[in-house]
Amino acid sequence: MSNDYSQANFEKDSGNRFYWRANRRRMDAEQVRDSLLFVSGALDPKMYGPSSPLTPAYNRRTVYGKVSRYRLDEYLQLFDFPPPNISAEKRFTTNVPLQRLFFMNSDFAGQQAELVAKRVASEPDSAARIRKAYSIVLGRAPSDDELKAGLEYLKREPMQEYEERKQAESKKEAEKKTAKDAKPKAEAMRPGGGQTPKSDVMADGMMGGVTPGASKPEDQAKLLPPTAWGRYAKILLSSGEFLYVN
Amino acid sequence: MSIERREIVFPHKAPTPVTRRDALCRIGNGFGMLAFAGLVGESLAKAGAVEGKDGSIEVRKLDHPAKAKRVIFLFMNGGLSQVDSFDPKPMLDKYHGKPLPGGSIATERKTGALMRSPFKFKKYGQAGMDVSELFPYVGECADDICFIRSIYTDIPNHEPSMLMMNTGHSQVGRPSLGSWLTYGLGTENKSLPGFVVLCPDVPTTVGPPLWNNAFLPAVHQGTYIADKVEKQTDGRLVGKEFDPQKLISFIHNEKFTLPEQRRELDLLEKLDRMQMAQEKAKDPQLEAAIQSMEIAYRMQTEAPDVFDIRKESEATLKLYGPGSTARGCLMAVRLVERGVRMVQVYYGKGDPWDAHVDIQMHRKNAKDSDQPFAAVIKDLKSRGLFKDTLVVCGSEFGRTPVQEIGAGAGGSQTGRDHNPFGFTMWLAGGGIKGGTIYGATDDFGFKVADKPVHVHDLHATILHLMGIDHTKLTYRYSGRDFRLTDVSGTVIQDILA
Repeated sequence: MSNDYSQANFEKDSGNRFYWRANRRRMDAEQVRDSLLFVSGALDPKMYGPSSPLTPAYNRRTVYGKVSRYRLDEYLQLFDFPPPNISAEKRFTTNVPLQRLFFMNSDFAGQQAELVAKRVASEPDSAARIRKAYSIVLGRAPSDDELKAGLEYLKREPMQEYEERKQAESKKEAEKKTAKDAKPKAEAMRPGGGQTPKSDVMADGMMGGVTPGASKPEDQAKLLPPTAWGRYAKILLSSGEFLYVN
Repeated sequence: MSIERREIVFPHKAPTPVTRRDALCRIGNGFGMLAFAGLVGESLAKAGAVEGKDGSIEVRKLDHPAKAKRVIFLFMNGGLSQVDSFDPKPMLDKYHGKPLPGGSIATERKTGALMRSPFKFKKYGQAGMDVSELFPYVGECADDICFIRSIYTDIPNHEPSMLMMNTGHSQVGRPSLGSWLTYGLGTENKSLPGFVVLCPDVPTTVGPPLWNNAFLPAVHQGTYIADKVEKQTDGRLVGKEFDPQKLISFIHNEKFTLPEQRRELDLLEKLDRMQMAQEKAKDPQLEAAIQSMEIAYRMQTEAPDVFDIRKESEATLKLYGPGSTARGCLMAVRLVERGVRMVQVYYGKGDPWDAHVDIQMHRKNAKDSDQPFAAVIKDLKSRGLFKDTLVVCGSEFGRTPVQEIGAGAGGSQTGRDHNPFGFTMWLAGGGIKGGTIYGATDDFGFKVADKPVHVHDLHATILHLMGIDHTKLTYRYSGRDFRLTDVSGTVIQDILA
């Protein structure tokens, strides 16, 4: 069905009860994860075999993810996978802030974004890279405005990032100096600082970076470091256009 | 809930009901003001969002004026013994060591003769309420508390009784009380989850199904937080190692600074809006996605703040005393203060109150809990929240007045078995008549003898106090309308203020 808009139809039937257009749908949990893997080029399409916990390093399709009846994978739950201990006639679609935090902060989303960035790196210039990123992630060419916005971001971001990090480093140094004699624990008190707490049964790989203790150190070691281009790709992956099917 | 719903001509053909879309376009503040933080699909209409005459949206009309706006549920998981805490039985002293007249009652394990309580009782408050030496601090609050001495449940095992107390059903698969409350009432703070569960360690016997949303939309899932006390507490509530950042599920990303994220979001919103501008129709789903990105960003700074109990005064920290229950209780008060609908505080991992071997095991648990429980009442009062916060305290079941003698009792024969037939819970705060005792068990404290209160009745009363008619808060699933109270439940009118 077409997603074309018609003012006449909208006035008659704004809720689309008579199906004059396709309804926009958010992708399901499995579709979101598989799509992220697909656009990054990391998707392992292998079929069959046992299920495995979903972690940032696990690249097989989500249908091969382990589903625990006792405790559903946090990622699946977040994107409205039905509780496995009851029968579900259909799925909900919710849109809660934690879903957005998954895109913003999770190791998994970050990793796929960095891989997208790698895929476009061989293009001759920034504009061509942005065009390729749009074609990979959204399946279309960017408009002039979109291209401009992207170029602007990519021009400013690395410099700003550099300045900010330098500032943070020197601040940290200063803190270290003053805290040295007082107590060695000051580091851990810094927001976001210290070690990720070791977690246990509740650990859950896909939410690494969002939920404390969710990802294992060995998984984190495999992650690519964030780059400006990766963060730009992450923005495209976080867009409504990627998440929703028209 | 009285819900006016506009007729949907072809419900099966309307994944996005017309009421919702129309309504959303008219909300002045945009999607973000809704308590549901932008639930899409049909859940909003199902959740009973109704359109006011002026085109505004009210989320859930109350069935009657609410006496309480939020609930703190203090859970002594494992089973508090009523005859050793709030329901004294002098007959146990008299008949100590003798068999229960009329023969024993089957519980989970093998039991023997009647056993007196090793704990002394004292009268507290104007009404002269009996509270044992286990709970002197709670005793001091007796005038604010209603003790229900006649609660009963169905099955003498932890799992089904935990589920019953939390979800109104003995088997896994029903939404939790807290889920029903957020489904019915929404939450008042969109930067925090509406239903929070605190337990110091990987939780209780049943675990996540106790705070599951089951068939309700996933947003009503309880958010579990392991508020473990770090080792170096120096006997205080907040040790040197305490870091609220480590507790919560929406943490700062260590890889990015906030300004970096801000710029990411700005570009994202710009791109999203460009895309939306190309389409002529407003799509509330996309608008909602942008809104929830903003909320997500805010959550990262607001959520750690609420758990940072270091910000409390020394006097407040002292009021609660040391330990994980104290910390959970203080966090619970801070959470409800910021508009969280329900907070549940579990005592600890497994079934710590499960005193099969020796009832003296209650001594430590009570020492950890007594002062913080009383502190909740006092602190809510000083924050002006007591009048409309409901505090519920209890276990999944009580314990037998007879000693346990099976192999599981370890040969000590000074413990008590599970008892679903009659036990005590207490309520305080919003809409509760303080200084009252409701119902009674028999002479030995085994079975309910007067004014029985099933768990369904307790749930019906909690919902009633929150402004909800328990028979009207329903959700259609699997071909029928489900309720927290299933097909039972009677509001206990006598305990209402």
